[in-house]
Amino acid sequence: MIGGVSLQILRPDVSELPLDRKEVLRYLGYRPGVTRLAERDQHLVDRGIRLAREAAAPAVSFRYCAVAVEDDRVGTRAPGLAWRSRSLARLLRGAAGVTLVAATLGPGVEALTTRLFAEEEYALATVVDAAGTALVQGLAQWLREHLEPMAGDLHPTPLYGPGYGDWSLEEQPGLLAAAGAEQIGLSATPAHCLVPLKSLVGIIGWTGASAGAGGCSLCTLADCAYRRRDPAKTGRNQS
Amino acid sequence: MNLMELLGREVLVFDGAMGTLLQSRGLPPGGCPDAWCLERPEAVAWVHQQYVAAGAQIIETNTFGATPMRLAHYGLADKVREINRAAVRIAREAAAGRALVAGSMGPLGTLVEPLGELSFDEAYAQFAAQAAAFAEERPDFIIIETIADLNELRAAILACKDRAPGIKIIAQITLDPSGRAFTGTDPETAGLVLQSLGADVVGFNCSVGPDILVKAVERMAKVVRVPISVQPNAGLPLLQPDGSTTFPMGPEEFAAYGPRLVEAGASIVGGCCGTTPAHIALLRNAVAGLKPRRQPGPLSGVLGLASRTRSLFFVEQNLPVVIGERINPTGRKLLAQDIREGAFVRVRQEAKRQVAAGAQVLDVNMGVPLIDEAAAMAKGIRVVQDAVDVPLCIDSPGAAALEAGLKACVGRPLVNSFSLEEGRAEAVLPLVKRYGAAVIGLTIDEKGIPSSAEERLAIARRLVEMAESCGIPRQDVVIDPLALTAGAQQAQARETLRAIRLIREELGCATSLGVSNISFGLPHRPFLNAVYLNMAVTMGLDMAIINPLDERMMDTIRAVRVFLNRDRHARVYMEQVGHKQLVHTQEEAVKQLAKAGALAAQPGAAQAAFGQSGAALPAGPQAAPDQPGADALAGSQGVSGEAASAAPAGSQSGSQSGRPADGLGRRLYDAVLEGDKDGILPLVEEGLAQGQDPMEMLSQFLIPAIEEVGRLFGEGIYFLPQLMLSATAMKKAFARLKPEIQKAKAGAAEIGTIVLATVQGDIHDIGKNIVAVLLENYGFKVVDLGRDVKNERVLEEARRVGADMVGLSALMTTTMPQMKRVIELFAQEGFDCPVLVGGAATTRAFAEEIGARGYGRDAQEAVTLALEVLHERRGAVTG
Repeated sequence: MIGGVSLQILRPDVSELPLDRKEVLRYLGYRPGVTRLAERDQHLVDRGIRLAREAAAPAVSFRYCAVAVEDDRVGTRAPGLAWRSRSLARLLRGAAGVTLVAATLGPGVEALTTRLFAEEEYALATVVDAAGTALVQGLAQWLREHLEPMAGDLHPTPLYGPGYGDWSLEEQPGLLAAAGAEQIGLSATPAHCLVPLKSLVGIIGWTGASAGAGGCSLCTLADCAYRRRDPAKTGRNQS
Repeated sequence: MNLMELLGREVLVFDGAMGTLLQSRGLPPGGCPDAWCLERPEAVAWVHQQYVAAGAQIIETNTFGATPMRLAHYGLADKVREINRAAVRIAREAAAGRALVAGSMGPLGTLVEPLGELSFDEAYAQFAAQAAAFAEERPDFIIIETIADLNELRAAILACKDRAPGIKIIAQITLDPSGRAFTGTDPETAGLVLQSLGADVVGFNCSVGPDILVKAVERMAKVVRVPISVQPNAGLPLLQPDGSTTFPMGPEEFAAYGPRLVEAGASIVGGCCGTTPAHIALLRNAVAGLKPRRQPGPLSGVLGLASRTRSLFFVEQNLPVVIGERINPTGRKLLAQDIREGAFVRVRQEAKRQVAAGAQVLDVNMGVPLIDEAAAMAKGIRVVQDAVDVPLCIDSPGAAALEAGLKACVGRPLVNSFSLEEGRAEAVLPLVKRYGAAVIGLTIDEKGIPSSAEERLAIARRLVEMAESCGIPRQDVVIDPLALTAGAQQAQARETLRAIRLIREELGCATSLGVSNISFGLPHRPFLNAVYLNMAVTMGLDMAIINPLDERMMDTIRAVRVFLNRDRHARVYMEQVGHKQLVHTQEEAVKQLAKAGALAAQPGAAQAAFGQSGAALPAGPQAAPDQPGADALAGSQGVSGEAASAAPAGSQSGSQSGRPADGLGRRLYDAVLEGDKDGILPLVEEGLAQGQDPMEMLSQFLIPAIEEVGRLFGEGIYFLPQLMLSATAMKKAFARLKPEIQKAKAGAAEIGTIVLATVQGDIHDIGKNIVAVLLENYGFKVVDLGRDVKNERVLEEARRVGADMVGLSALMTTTMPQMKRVIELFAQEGFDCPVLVGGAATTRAFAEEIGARGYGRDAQEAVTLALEVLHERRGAVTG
């Protein structure tokens, strides 16, 4: 019952959202120890992050939902709401419930990006875009931290949504609706592209285990330019 | 009497020319002189007696052409043994105890491989036949003479050692008026190589007169410890009107050179073509009572290596000697393939590059699994010898490959290596001795690599003993005390250094070291290797086995040589290093670049571009380098991997491709490189005002700059913001130049047209927008249809604008299928236009599956692909 079964909407101030600067750099292709990062570039990144924050209007809608986890699917009490995915089931092993989450920064960030591109501020635009992505992650992280104290002995999994692992995007509409996305101005195109772009929809699982490895290690796209690599193993021939 | 003792006591005199005297007794022109040993032995004896009477103390047998292939010209090949044996008997009888007898072994009349067609083995066989015959009669010497080809001399000496063991060998090379053999061998090289092979006396004869040979004797004398013999012609031959040749130098003039030759270092003097008993008599008088030079040459106690045309002595001035290690296929797929396929193209390239970079010796290792290593080594040595003229180091764990290499190597090589490991010394040392090579001994025994310096010294002592017991002198043994990995065995790094000093001091041996291992596992390997090498050289290291393309390493060596007073007046250092911009960190590199750009741009532009007040960039701390191992500025890692590029480490400026040296071009280039979007327009205006051709400004300065930016991005040195800043600067410049170019070309400034779109149902566009900017930088006309573009519209627009290609972006698995539909639509409608795809979820496999022309993983790849496709479609592309 973490946070309650009824829908809740929160609009944290953007200053409350954690932003991992390293994440922003990573989205921009920065490679520690390889990429040159002079004062000018640092300032540019700082400025882009600042502008992205100013353009963001974070909002998150969520509700708690009990689940029944099997090997290859996860069922809920809500009619018609069940998810077919082994990777999701693995993540939620032993979980009794999840929080359905829809989160967005609003249309401001991408509008800013578009405007910057039009003004030929390409470098700044790319930083704003990367910062926007990092901020959405920050919003999800903010929610996890917000809810965790209410969870007793349980721990939140990372936010996991349709499109991750083997969880089909076709199941996104149902989740969007159940998470109250409409209430925060979040929708999706027929091809399931979230609108506004800087948004997330998914679940946070509540399990006994502390958060396992998430992110890139769960993803099967091998030649992604953004794949996060284990720093201890990064070497010259990182491709 | 002991011959060598005799040689030490007084100068000995050889006889003179045989052929002319035989002719005076009726030998017809073109007749076979050697045959007279059987047909007219009394005439031959008479010639000998003339010279003995004149004072000759050593007479040569009449066997100058008595090898099978030479005698075959006269149909006498089957008489080799008879002729040679008879010749010795005749000479001995004629000498009647008043002179020594030397069996004469002359040239084969044809060049030996690689200079000629005759194989080394065939040459050896020829000389072996003659030597075997001599062995039966046992003359006092065998004199191998009048040969210009060092490889032929090698074959002859080996044949004599094998077939006539115990008979002293005199080996004489023939020089031409330049003071070198016509095959390129100089006196020092000849002396070193012939002495190493086991000749008891070395020297010169024929081709030139005594005047030229005085200098040659001096040079050879510096290098050898064995006695020197010299038999000049009576001057240079003069062609007479009737076709005959005469030698102008009379007996008095000739004899006068005698003392000069002795002073230069000769212990035996005589005469060759054009000399007569009169010449010899006067010569004998001229040198009577003279004592031969007693000391061995100053370089004779120093390790020497040689190729055919160059010798290298390990005197302090030359240290540390750099051995290039790159010709080694271990961990280098392409080189291994090159060797396996028998092409040896890369082998040749590596040889040239290393020597050009300053390697003084080259290591040659042909260790590719499952090939005939011996054959590969023979070929490898030949290829390298053909490409460069430095001495070589033959590197193999297998005796067969070592032998093949030694046989093929024309010069005095180093053998890598032997040790106290089971069987190694027994296999290697006899080969080293036979071929007169020098050898590297590794301080490793049956128990492995020792941990302390003292233990290394103990093994080194045993190595030297073993070598000496095989007849290899200690100066020809180089000890390698083995550098292990400082990361794993840190204390050992010092032990190796101490061992170098101990071995030098206690054993007097030269030392060598391969340093790449020392830094394994630690970050910034080239930097660490260079530091360690420094330390080793100050401990007395003689030889470094390194990658000479590692610029930082080579510059370190140049610096060390300045401080050890080996590079006088730091001349080489100033030439090679003085002008470089050396940087230690990326911060410094960026600062230098910025300074170079900022100085050139307008005042204030620098501030605007760098977004702060104040001119130079402060040196800030490098952002979170939180892992070891990644060193973007690292150059080659030696043999650690094919991925090791040839790009030099350390120095940044000057190594960018296409960067103009100075002037406006350089400033334009730098403005793009640094993303100086405000400073670039004034530069463009300046260029146009100066009358610069806009196309040239674009193709010579601006395009190379964004290519360099693309390369930096591809390597991760630039990331997206820097790429975009440069793109912005480029865009501004190009926008300004476009109308000028259109005027000049009387047509479009663009190189091609590309239609871009994010596919139906997808609304991501930033990646596509980035690609659009870059494509415009390169001169593409970009028609950007935006996002969520219907498939039919893509076709329509592409047709309308006459697109050369279409680029589609999709970021979701649910929208990627649209790419396939677009391609199918094009095919259906007969629209032949290549489709390129990109976007986070797309992959190369996907692109292939749907029939796309190509796939770009990021913006830069996309651009490269587009250029490639354009080139295919259009042929020549500008920029």
